Amino acid sequence: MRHAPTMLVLAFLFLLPVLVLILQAGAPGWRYPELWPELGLDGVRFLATRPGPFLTALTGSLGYSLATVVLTLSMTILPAKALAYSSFRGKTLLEGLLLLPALVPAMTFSMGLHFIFIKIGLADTAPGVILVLSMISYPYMLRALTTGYTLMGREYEICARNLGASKWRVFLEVELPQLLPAMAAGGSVVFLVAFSEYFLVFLIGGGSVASFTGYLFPLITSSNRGLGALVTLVFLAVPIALFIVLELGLYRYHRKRRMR
Amino acid sequence: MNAESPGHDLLRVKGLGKRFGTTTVFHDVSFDVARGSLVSLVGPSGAGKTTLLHIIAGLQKADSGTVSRFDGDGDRHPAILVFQDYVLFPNMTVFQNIAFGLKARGLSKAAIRDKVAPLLNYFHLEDRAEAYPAQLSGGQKQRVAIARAMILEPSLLLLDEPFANLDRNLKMETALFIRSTQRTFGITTICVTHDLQEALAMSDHIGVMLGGKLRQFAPPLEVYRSPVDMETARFLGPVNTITAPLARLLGLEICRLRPEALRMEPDPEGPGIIIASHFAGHYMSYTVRILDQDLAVYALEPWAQPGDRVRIHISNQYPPIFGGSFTEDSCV
Repeated sequence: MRHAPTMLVLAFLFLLPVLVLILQAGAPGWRYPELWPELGLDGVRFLATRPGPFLTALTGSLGYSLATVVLTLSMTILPAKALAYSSFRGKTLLEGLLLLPALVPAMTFSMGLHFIFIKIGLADTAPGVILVLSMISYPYMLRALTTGYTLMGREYEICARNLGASKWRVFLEVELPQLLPAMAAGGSVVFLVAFSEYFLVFLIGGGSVASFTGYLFPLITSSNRGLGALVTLVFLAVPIALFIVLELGLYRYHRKRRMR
Repeated sequence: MNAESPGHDLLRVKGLGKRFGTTTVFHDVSFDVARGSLVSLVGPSGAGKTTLLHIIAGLQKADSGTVSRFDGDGDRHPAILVFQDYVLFPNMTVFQNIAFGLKARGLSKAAIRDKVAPLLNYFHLEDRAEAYPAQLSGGQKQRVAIARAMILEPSLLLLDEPFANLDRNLKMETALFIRSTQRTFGITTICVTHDLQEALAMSDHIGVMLGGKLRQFAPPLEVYRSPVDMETARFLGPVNTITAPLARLLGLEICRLRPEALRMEPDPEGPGIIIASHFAGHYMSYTVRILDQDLAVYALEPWAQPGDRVRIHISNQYPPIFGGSFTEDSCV
């Protein structure tokens, strides 16, 4: 139990707020000097009677976040390979430039992008939202995949090509399975960035693209604190559930092959 | 790549050179490989052996020279490289690894099964077919890698340091296995290694690469017994120089001899004195000082100690690697 104090601090930092949220969701009216909380299920009742907007917002956010993961993956897979295996003049500069969107505040370039998106008809559309979210989150995927390719090494590709496999077969059957951990790592961060983004979805989606953050934000400031807390808990649970599924899937895949 | 066959040769390497930036890896490397033979390229690390192998496999380009193969159909019978660390695909079973090249060629599942099964038997892997690479021993991994190449019936099999990742006691066994496999399948093989004993034991021809050049390309015994220069001779094993005073004493000409040409026997009045002894497992290596000159002598039994006096016999069964031969044994 050498790490007990650290674990206590972490539990305090991460679990206490969740505990407060659970209390707020289940007993929104609990105040001093009442000794025990009184169960109030207004939030649950509200969601049960009007599940439509909640589910639309949830599926909307899940949909564009997963689409962002897929798009960033397809955007970065080849550049990541080039950055991992090629050496050329100005490579460090290019790497730095490619990581810029993760460093510069999204606000600074999203205004200009919004203007262009209006001109080309991408504003107020789901593809527009997916594209802008991909632009701010692809550096995380690029970074993870570059590391993945570097760790894997080039010999697998050379060997498989020498055995007569096409580039496509090499990618699908040899490289992709070994890149899964890197993809999961990059994909998780990209998903989190996309799922929790409020401003860009609001700006580019223009209210016509349903988002969970857009649904949640007014509730937090509303008088129905129980409902706000409940929806916030769902907001927390979705990524956690996704990570658990992803980790279990990867763990089982790798354990079977003794790859870990 | 293909040219007219000059008889029984399968491969002709002519004037090959390779540079990395301003550093010359090797230059003017030329040799022919006979169909169905096993050739080993030996040399210290960094001699450019692996680069040469990659160029022959078509994985890298040479800066000068040509590689010609005379097998007609390079697509159906390619040159396949077996990597030093095997590069087995970790996400595939032994069966899937071996079948990979056949699958890439679009063979049916039944055809793949029919081809893989006998190979699994030959390489003693039948009970490991469903195992993943991480569950295999070093020797098993190597057999999978060779089977994966062999199944494509390559015209040329290229082995990059096949003994580097094996335990000492497995190396010779593997060398002999490679030799018998190569003979069974009749596949022309080029092997790059710095394990000399194994290369000498299994090869039809040895190429010695030193200082960016192919110094000698000849049968193992010839390379060992008649090296082209001292550096090549020393790379292949210890050399005793019989200088003028000792040569006079022995009644020989000045020459250079391998340690196995020398024998010693205990003699309190003998002219030699043992100054060092090393236990090398199946033999003992002694350093004997005689007329201010140090000689390396091997013996099977550890019967002498440093400080013992000995006589030296020189056998004419082992002709000198440099210098005139002699018809009778000499003794001092």
